[in-house]
Amino acid sequence: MLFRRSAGAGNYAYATARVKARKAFLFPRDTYLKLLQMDVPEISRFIGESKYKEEIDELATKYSGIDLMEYALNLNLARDFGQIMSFCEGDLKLLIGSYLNRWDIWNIKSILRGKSFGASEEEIRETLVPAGSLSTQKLNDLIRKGTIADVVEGLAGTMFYKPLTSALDEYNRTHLLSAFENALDKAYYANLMAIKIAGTTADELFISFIKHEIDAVNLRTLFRLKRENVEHDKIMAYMIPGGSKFGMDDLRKLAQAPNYNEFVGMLKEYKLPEDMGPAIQKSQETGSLNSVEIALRKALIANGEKISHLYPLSVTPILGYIVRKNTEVNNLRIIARGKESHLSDEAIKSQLVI
Amino acid sequence: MPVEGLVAIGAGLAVGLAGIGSGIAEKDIGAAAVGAIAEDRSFFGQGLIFTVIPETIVIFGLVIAILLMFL
Repeated sequence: MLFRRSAGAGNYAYATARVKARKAFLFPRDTYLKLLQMDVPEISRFIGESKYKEEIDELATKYSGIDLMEYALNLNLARDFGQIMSFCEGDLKLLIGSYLNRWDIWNIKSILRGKSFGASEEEIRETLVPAGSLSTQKLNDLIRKGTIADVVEGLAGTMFYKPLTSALDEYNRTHLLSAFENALDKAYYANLMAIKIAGTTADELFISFIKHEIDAVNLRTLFRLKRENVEHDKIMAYMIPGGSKFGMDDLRKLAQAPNYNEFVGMLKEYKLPEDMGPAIQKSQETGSLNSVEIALRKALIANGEKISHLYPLSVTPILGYIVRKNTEVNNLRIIARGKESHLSDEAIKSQLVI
Repeated sequence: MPVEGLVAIGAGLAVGLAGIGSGIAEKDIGAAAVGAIAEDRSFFGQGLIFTVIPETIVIFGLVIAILLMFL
């Protein structure tokens, strides 16, 4: 074990120590509560004096106010994940790289959406988070393409090309971007599930985390679509195979529920995260799925946090950090945006994942 | 072979194997220490101390070697 680990499997000791040192710099929970008491300029100053200082200073000449904060947060996230990728080696790099492909998916989706709605190059560029495998140069090339078909062609040679070309026909028929988005999500998870490595217990935990995430994504889709009373055939097209608790048969059964209430009733047969019960009840009272989606996200993050402590010299602490960092950036964005829109502290707090 | 020769080989093995053992132990600790220092320079002192802790094993080997050679 000792020797096999050191024979090119990955620089676990170095990478996890660096990531753990970074984790110590993440904002503690109290910070969010403190930020809730501040107004937008104060939040901006607070972030500008924290570890996001470099990005804020760099972008301060181009943007201001809430936009500056948002771009600085995105840039910091992209750089942070890029640095993690640069110091991981071997199997570790493969696992983390495959996980970070989600930002490629995010960027491709943004570009496709932008092209479909005729957004300007600058507008599209502002939504990108270049934290995945596609370089900034490549993304810029894609932004400059004229049509959606050109963007798809521009991705030739990447893992996204095949699913996108097969979704192109459906898009041409329906003109709905969901064809691409669905194909990309499925390809992303299929790629993660197909990773072939030596397979330690920690690597299995990583895969189980991904399976949980697939469950969460599928459940979220089911909740949304069942509430809109979408037909079960259409729902099944959006389901991603490979979940841990919800196999395709379970999902089909849930999708076939005659109405939303019956669907919620059927969910009781499954062991859901603790917070889900009250969240479902709250969503039925308020008519908003917000509480359910937040409960799903919280359960996923809690799982990531839990497994990050189990095997110190493995991929899981790094995965845990990536999940935590992403949550931090999301929370900061929610607070800043919420404050700017003059939402009540309670409303903002209900959106946070603390 | 005279006994002194075997004693010398034993002493060499004691130091050599202990050195290899502590080297293996220090490998990950050293890598982790450098990683932590890269993020935060204040870890330098602590990192250095943790890295040299396995050196004690070599001292045991050395003690055995000295005992063999001179006693």
